[in-house]
Amino acid sequence: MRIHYYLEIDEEAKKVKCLKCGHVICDASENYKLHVPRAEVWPDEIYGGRRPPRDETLLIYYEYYCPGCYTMLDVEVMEKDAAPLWDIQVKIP
Amino acid sequence: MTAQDIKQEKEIYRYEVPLGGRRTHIGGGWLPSREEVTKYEKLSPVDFEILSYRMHSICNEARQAILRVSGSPVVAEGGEALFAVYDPHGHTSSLACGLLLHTVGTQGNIREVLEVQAEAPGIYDGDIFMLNEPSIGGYHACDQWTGTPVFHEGELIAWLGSLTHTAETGAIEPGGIPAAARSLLDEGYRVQGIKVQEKGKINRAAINCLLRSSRDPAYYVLDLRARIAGLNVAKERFGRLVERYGVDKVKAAIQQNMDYAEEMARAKLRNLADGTWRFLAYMDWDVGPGPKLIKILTTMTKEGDTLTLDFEAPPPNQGYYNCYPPGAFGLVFVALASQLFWETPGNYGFLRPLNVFFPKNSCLNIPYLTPCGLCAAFPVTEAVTGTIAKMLYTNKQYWQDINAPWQRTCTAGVFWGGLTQHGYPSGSLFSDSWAVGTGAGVDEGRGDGCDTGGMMMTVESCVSDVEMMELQSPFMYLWRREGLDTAGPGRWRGGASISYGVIPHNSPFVALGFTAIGAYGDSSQSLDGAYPPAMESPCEIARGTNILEAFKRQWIPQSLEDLHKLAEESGGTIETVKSPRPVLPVEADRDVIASVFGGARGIGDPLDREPERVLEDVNNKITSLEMARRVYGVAIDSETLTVDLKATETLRDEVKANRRKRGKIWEGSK
Repeated sequence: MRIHYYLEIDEEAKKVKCLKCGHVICDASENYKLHVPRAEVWPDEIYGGRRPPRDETLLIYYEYYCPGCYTMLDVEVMEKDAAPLWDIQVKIP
Repeated sequence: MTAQDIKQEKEIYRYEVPLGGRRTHIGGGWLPSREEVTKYEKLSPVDFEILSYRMHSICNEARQAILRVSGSPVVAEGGEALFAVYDPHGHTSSLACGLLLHTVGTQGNIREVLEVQAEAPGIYDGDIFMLNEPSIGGYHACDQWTGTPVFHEGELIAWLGSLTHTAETGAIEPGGIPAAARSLLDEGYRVQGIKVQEKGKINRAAINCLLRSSRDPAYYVLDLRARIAGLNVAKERFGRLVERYGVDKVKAAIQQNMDYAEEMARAKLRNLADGTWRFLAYMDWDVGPGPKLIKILTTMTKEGDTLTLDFEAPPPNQGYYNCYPPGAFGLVFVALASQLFWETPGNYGFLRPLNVFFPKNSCLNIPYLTPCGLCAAFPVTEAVTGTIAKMLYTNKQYWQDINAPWQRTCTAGVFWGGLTQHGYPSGSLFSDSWAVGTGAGVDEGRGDGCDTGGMMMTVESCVSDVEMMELQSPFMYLWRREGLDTAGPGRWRGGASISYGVIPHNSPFVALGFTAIGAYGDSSQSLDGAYPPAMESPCEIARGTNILEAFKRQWIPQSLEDLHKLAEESGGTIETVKSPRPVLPVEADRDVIASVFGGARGIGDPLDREPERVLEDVNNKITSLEMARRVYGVAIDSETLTVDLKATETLRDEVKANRRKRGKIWEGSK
């Protein structure tokens, strides 16, 4: 079952997998973001349009990558040091 | 206990009228009990199709009448008008929408009229009631609703309702959404069920009360008469429907329409996986002096054929970023109607599978008299849209409907008031704020968002022509175009939004109002690896310029950079507005005002976007060469405007190498 542009749940194995490279990330019952690399990025590191300068911004970006192919899976907008948001929690029977 | 008390006490916000009420005489006839109203003989599929379609056509025709009679750009061109048919207790059965958010929000108006006026002075055929009280219906005082009961042989069989966003409310600032408001009392007159027409006759005293409370009686009366015109058109058509098909069938169609919507909604929910999805959205300002983070977390849980939306939100702001439940619920409806149940008749029925929790005394469920001019609901729509998009991945059948949140809009220098070039006082907003980007889809759906596609809560909005704006308001445009690099970069990018520059012109007095939020942090994220779109640029005012001299030199400033150059050349100054500001006088033919709106959200890793699509965006001035290189990893020759595929591969490898270097598994909060 697909749960994301780049992620699916293998319903037999009950695992979250990357659709691009097949990397098995974690159990389907877990928050995948706890099992993939994340990078803290200041908004003004991203070129183009208006991004808040780092001495003013209230929020920063957390980028998450597939550990297999380093496709960017999510860019959270969060307070600094915030825990990853468990945003996808699909019930697998 | 009033309807308002009930709303504030209830944790689950449903707008449901309890079953079992008794038949009551309301002056002009009988109000049937809930049981009588909901029991009906199911129509044949053919009859249902005909009657359901006819009711929808009546709503559409009535809405068109409103748009044609109103002279207000917000209504006539922005499309901010709604028409609906409700059942006798005020549940929406059929609607034509310009303003999705008011579909359910206006239901409270009917219940208020029934509760307060049924016994005395009574409710009669030909009465038209008016309300614009945000704690009862709508989301701010600009949302002005008029409704009329439809009786048949002594029984109330339906209500008809029309709504417009009427920009001038006589608030403490022009334009109806005052940044200086610290109480609902500051936001203008609030009418709570007066009869603007009694038994078919216009109540001039009531209307005068309204007109004399507004800075702009000319547009005001056009809007009011437009709403009455819509009601007249619909009432006549509705009468013919009853004549032709019989009252029982029409009454059945009103109920069956809602039951059908509920069935469709539940069936769709059953087709999706059970689970929980979350989304965070933000605002960044209260009343100052510095920024303040306002965080709203939406948790959506789908189980079987029910959907629960649970919001976590901070206490009310001192300023106007707050919601009474009708407004907050309306913004939930915007996302549901446009993203999840778009194929379902838009009515109360599809809300029955829903449980919605707005925490009491939060900015989404505020105590009475808290200001609410700009509403805290924009993050609500964004967040519900985001959670729906995530849920839709679980069934291939719905991949084509996946849609990232649209641009939030309405957060720049958009309000004005003063004397027009025609010599009368007026106040309104720049319709440019409707020309914002829509969210991206995925491969099976729409792909990129639509540039300047429209405002999510007003799906039929269109931006007024520059010429129309110049005719109706004391401003002259220097430019209006799609903003460069505003779209959320992604494998599928969000839609770009608008950029505009104006000068006040030919008026002795003009003032501007600013609603800017989003200068200190992104309002919410994109989806699945796309970057957030650019934020709103702060509104910039170049003061004391010699713009008329520039015209003589045949130079028309075309960008924020040009604005700075103009100010420097003229010995003028640049004022940057990054937060809500009370109205600010501006000088005709000397000051220049410019805004660049933020874009909409994308989907997927920007490195996965085909280089030729990035090139097309560069050619269309949606994406700059520098953004193409640094964010999309696409090398484009600035002279020949061709893609260098080898250099592109190298660039993308470099970005991925950097990700490998920086990415670390999260090990808990420090």
